Amino acid sequence: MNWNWTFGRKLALGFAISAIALVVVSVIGYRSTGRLIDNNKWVEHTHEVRRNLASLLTGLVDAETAQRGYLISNNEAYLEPYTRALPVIERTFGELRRLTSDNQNQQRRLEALRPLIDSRLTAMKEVIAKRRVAGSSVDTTEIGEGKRLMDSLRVAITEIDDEEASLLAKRAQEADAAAEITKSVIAWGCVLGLLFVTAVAWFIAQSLTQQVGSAVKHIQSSSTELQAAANQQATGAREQATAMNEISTTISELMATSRQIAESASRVSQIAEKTAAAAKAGDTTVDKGRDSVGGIRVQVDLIVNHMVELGKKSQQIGSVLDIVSELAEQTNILAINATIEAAGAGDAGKRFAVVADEIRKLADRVTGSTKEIRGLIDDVRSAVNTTVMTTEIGSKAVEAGIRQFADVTQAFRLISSQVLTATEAAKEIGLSTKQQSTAVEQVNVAIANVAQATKETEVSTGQTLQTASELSSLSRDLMRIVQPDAANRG
Amino acid sequence: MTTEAERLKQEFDAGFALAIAPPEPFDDYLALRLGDDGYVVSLTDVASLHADRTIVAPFTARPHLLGVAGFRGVLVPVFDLRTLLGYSATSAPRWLVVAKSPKPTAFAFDAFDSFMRSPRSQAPAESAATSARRHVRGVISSRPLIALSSVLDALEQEIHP
Repeated sequence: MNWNWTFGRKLALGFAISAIALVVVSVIGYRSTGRLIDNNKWVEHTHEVRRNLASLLTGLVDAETAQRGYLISNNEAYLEPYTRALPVIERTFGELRRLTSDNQNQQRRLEALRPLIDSRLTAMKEVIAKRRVAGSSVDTTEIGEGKRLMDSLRVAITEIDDEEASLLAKRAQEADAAAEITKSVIAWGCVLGLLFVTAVAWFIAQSLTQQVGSAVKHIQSSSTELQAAANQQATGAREQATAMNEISTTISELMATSRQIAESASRVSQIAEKTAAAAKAGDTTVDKGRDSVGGIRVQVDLIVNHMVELGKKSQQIGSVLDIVSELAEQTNILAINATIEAAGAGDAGKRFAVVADEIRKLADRVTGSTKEIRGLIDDVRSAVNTTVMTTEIGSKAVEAGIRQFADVTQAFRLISSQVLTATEAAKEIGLSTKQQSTAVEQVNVAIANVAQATKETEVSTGQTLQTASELSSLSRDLMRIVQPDAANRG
Repeated sequence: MTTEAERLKQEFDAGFALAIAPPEPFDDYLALRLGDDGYVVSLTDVASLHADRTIVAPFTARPHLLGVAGFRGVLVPVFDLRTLLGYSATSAPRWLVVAKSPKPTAFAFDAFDSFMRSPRSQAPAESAATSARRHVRGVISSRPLIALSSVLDALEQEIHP
């Protein structure tokens, strides 16, 4: 026998063998019971035939008795049993013929009994009719004939009844035999079936104990592992839920940051547009400034030319002043010499000395004035030189300013271009940030769904853990049921 | 009336109100410059003053002699006053004074500053020698007074010892 059969196959085998034993016992018992029932039915049939025979005889006796009473008393009231017995006799006889239809001997006896009954009933009818006609006189001959017929009827009925009695005895024996057989079959079948079922049950129990015990141990270890895994999964689910909450919070912050970036990009775009307009205005202003500086440059050139002319004039004045100074010096010398000569002339030269002195004073004043003028001219020339140098520096500064204006104009155009680029970039940043915000919102929704799924997973894991605990408990209970010792050891 | 106008009015009134004082005796001087130092010479020692005269160099070199120059048709020897007073001759002198002496003699110097008139009461003594320089005789208006007569005497001693 293959000991690796499944639990179902073993149970099926055990139940099949038990069913076969039960079927065998049942079939035998059924057949015995059926035979017993048949015997009982035939016994009952016999008893019914005998009851009908007794009823037939009782009807005949009642009819006879009523006929005799009427004959004796001539009282119609005594005929009532007679009248009631006639249909009973007919019905009972018909019933007897039907009940004994399977028995030819009884049919033959009933055929023989029928004329006797008819003769007796006809005789009764005739006697009663005569009694009604004749009045109170009774013919004893007819009574004797009636007695003889009744005796014949009793004999015939007794024969039929005897036949039935013998059949009853025979069938009772058969019923007893069938009952004994049935009892034996039930007893032995029960014993054998019990032994067989016990053997099969022991075999299945042993096999199932081994297999189920092993399976239960597996279930126990698996449920323990499942419990541990469910614990880990529950812990992981809680951590995942926490992480999802953190992610959701972070994404909310990111979403807020994205909105702020979008708003900032929008403001940057607006500011960049204003800056572009200001840069264009600045470009125009720079153009005007460049024109103004060009005008300043022309004026500065004029100033330089005038200053150069002023310097030249100052040089000419200096030249003239040199002559004046030289003349004053010569005059002074002449005056001094005249003074000397006047002093040498004595009293005659005193008046000349006064004139010479006045001339010398004039010459001194001229010399002094000339020195002052020279100082002033030097100051003017110095100032002119300084002014010319300053103006030239200013002119160079103006030229540099013009060049710088060109650079500034170029820079403003570059700024305008860059600002336009920045505006486009800011708009793209704003659009991208809005798209990013939308995506982040979708991610947030997805994260919320994942968080919900994680919570459901956590709940499911809790249920799994509970189920695993229940499974472990069930496996211990099952183990306790299957292998109490092992369960107690476990 | 402003302060300046008041001052001018007072000066104008004073010009008519003050009595004319008798003139104080005075001496005239010529302020000149040797190098960076200022000196004066008495006008009484000077015969004439000249500038930018042509000096003809001598054939034979003598100490302090620059050459000769013509003054009013007379050739006059020109000596360097700077070297005579102990200065070094760094450049050609522009100015000349002709000393009043029997032998006309001219002295060359660097620059002529001005004509000076000083009260006679402030004139130094004849024998005063207040400077370490030779030929200096006193101070007029903070300027040492060069005695041209002393210079002439010294030249005479050198030429005719």
